[in-house]
Amino acid sequence: MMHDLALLCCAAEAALVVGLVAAAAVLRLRRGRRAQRDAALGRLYLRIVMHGLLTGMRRAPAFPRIGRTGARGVLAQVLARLASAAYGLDAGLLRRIVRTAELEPYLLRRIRRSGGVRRARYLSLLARLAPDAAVGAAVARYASDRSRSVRFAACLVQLAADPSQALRLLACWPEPLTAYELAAVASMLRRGMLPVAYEPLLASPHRNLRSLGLCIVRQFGIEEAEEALLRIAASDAVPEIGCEAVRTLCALQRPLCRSGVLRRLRSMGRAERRALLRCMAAEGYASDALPELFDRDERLCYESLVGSYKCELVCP
Amino acid sequence: MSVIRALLLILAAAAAAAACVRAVRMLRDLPRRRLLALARETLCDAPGGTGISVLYRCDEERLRLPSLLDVGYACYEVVAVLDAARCPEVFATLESHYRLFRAAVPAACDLPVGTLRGLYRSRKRCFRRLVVVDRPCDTPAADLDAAAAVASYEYLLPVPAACRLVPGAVERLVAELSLRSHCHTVLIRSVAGVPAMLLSRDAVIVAGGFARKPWRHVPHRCRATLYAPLFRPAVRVRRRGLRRGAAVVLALSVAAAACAGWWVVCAVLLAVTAAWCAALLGAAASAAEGGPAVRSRFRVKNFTVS
Repeated sequence: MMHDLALLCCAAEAALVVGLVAAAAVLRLRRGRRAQRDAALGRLYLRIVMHGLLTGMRRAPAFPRIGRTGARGVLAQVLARLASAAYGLDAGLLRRIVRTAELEPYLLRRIRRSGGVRRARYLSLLARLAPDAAVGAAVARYASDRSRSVRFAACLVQLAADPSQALRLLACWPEPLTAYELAAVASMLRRGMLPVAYEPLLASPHRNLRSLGLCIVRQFGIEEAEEALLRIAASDAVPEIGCEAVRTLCALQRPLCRSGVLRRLRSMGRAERRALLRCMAAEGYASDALPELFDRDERLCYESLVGSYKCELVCP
Repeated sequence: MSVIRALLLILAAAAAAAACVRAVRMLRDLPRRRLLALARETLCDAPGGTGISVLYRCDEERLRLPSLLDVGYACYEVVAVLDAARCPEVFATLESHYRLFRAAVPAACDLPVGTLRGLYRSRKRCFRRLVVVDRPCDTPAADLDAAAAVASYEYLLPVPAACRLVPGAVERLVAELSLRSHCHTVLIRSVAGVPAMLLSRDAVIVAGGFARKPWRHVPHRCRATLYAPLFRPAVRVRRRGLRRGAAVVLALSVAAAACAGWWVVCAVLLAVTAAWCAALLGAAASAAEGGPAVRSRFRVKNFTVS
């Protein structure tokens, strides 16, 4: 019995060792050859696209070796990174390139065949390539995928395809948006793919829309939103959003000795208050600007924090 | 005797299973890394205001500081702790290179900091994310407590001894934190490469400092495990010959045990081989892709502290 078990164990372990060695060899091979080839192709494609954009080319340029395996993926990545990192690009030329190189059918095919995080990655690539309404409709079925990352990436594609539906799509999102998801939507907005209208967002009854509104106000430094922020800080039913409104006011360097802020401060925990004090010190608030609700210990702590940012003129 | 054999067999099977699980998780992390690498511009905006303070014990060499400062994420700072009396030349070099000025030492609010001789910040705008703490030489935990006490951000990342930050590691941590912003993550542990962990300041304060091992008090629902390396050894020693020699010896031992019919010994040796192969696979997966391949042209970004 023991002998048989030991034999079985040996066989299983030997198979595992062979599998692990094979996987390591494949990874090393891919890292060596395919990564080098993709990097060279990516540099070439980036040069071609940049040349087309800078010379104001009307027609889509030709891409060498585009028919090879993986070349379309490399081109899609190049275009996605370029679109994410640059503002005011000629969207017409990018669209023509996407159409001529048949990137949308390629990516939709890959999305259909893959699953999980890989599917989310192809959907994210597609969202950056300014898809049209037909593509948005084609990915609508992934909005009910099991994986949250896939559902969100599909939502991004739909947002990019039809920006007028942005509010409806985000309001329909059933769970609270994470900071990463809010930042992804805000980055689309910064690229000009969505309208920057923070007022209806801040006044919205939906939690996700209010969160997005706060994210926009913070990232764009919109000081005109102060009244709305104070209202949210004072009376929002969701404590996280109320605290976020106070932090946004702090990031905008607005006065914090206001009734709305005081009301929210009362409900904040000790750790949150300390975190707010550190934010205030980093933003350069003076010691006198502290609301009355901070106790003596917190005031002393804040004064020493503020001092730690200033040059000590009298050295011991 | 048969009990010992059975025990050895069970241990070997468990080790092999653990190696298998680890390898699968390492491989499953690859597509996630590619997805997050695609969203680098999203992460540059400091989603949710997530900030990370790196706590670094500055010993004899100062070579690692520039690599720690070279991170393209806005809400990030490096708190370096050193004993200026013990290594005055290192401190003098730092002072002149970073043009440090002496700031007031903050009062101990949350953590026991012991004696702090001075706190220094850089006059150069491009090094505003550097904070240098001068304190008498003490235990690593006490040094980390002192660094945590002056840190500005909510998450603390202690640098293991003689290690460098892997490019893209901070961005990856921020992505993981902001993806889990609704679960209140307190601890992120990296099990690939050099073991490291990111802790929330609250966890350290509640535990009473690094000496009390705060990671032990964190509930499991607030923990996350990362199968991507955060740090790598500062000096990489290539021992290819030694590795090949060990592989040959292991293969010969397995073959000899199999020929002799010692199947339990063979199973144990194969379990060791599987664990080794899983580590090799992890190294290959870590190096494969995901991190930013293109480094910034400027060595240090011009970000302010806040």
